[in-house]
Amino acid sequence: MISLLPKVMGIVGSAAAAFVFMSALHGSSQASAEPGLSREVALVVSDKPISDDALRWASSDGITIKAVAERAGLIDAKDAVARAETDFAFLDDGDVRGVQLAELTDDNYGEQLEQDQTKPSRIKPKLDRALVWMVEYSGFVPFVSSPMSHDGISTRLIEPQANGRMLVAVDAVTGEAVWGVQY
Amino acid sequence: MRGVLGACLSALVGAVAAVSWSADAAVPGSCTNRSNYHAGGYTAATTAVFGSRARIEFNNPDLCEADATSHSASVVWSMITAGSATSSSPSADGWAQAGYGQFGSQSGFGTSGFHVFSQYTLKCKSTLTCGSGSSVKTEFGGTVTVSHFYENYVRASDGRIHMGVDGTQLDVTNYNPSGDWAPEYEGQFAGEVLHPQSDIAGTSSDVTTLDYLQKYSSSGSIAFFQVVHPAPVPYTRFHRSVTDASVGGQRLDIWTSPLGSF
Repeated sequence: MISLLPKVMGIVGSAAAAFVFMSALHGSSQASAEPGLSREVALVVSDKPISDDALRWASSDGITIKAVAERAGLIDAKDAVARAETDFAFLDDGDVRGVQLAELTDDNYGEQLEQDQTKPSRIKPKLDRALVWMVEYSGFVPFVSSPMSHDGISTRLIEPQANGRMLVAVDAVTGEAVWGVQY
Repeated sequence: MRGVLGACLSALVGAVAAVSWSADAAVPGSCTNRSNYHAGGYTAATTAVFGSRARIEFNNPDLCEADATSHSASVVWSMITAGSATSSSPSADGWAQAGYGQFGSQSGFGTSGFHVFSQYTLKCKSTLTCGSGSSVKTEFGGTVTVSHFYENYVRASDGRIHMGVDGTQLDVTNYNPSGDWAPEYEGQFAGEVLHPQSDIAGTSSDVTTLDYLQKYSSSGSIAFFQVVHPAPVPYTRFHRSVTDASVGGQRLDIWTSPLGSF
């Protein structure tokens, strides 16, 4: 279990707020760049919430991540990481950078309330304050698709780099990996 | 597709890449030569295309190594793509797509490891200015077990490309591609793997069908693509077939032959 997770809740309302919030919780160690944890270390050193960089990016993309305290009846962090890796095994070359219990809202993912395309697209989020374990990864070769060229050769000529960043959300009650984003 | 017996045999052969198998499904070996390998079809690129969609059947492909630990992925998607408005390099191509895929998982017939997904190229890719940062954003949603419509279209109200499944939005581009993408958009429909030892979904006896191969107009109306061209395949074990569809327009069938045949 992540026994040392902060017992503080905070709404990540903006990039600046996210940075201040997380830095205040974890002092200078979080404010500076750190190498990624190995998987094994991440499962032992549990006081490692998702990074300020990830929170800043999420906030800028319509994704709200609100840290919450642990409670009884939830799957533990180790099981959540195991499920994330089972569902996204192509991440195996990367690092787990953080694991954190949170409420997740993605304002871009959900039911479209306006089918008339001349009107603004309103979305009813599919994940609205969903209670999840957020697992953050870095340093892997990301999944990059590609169009087909008409001669059957991939048009993606840029070599894949081990610069992948990803957040995975595992339902804290059911243990199902319900969401992920690479950016 | 592959069951427990296949998984055991695959483990026994270890890192041997080319494995013969008497059944119709492939038995993938180790994952090598990571790139993008397709079996699919494409349409003409025109200024009248503002989106694409397809109904895509669900099938369970096998990944190289073992599904539980694979570094690979196998996806099927609908896409719109265009060259850059300012660069002639194929590396500057833009695209937006939606589909489903298997991204490493438990072997067998379970559905964990399957997700609907969307991916689009960031604005910086059109000018080759992403540097060491990512050039795409990918969103993974819930699991998938049946056929769905996967769509990608420029919405008239905001000029951005919305990607979704059955009307549920997966993601939306954070920019209007006009001015960054060339104005001629092309529809593409395909299965794709990251390693040639992984299977594109479908076998010869249970192909993966994509039908309702359709396009969006600037106002959002939907019509069939009348012509879809089958693209050449990189390996002979990957297959695609384009035929007339009973629902209208054309249909695309994709499948994979056993690994030993490539």
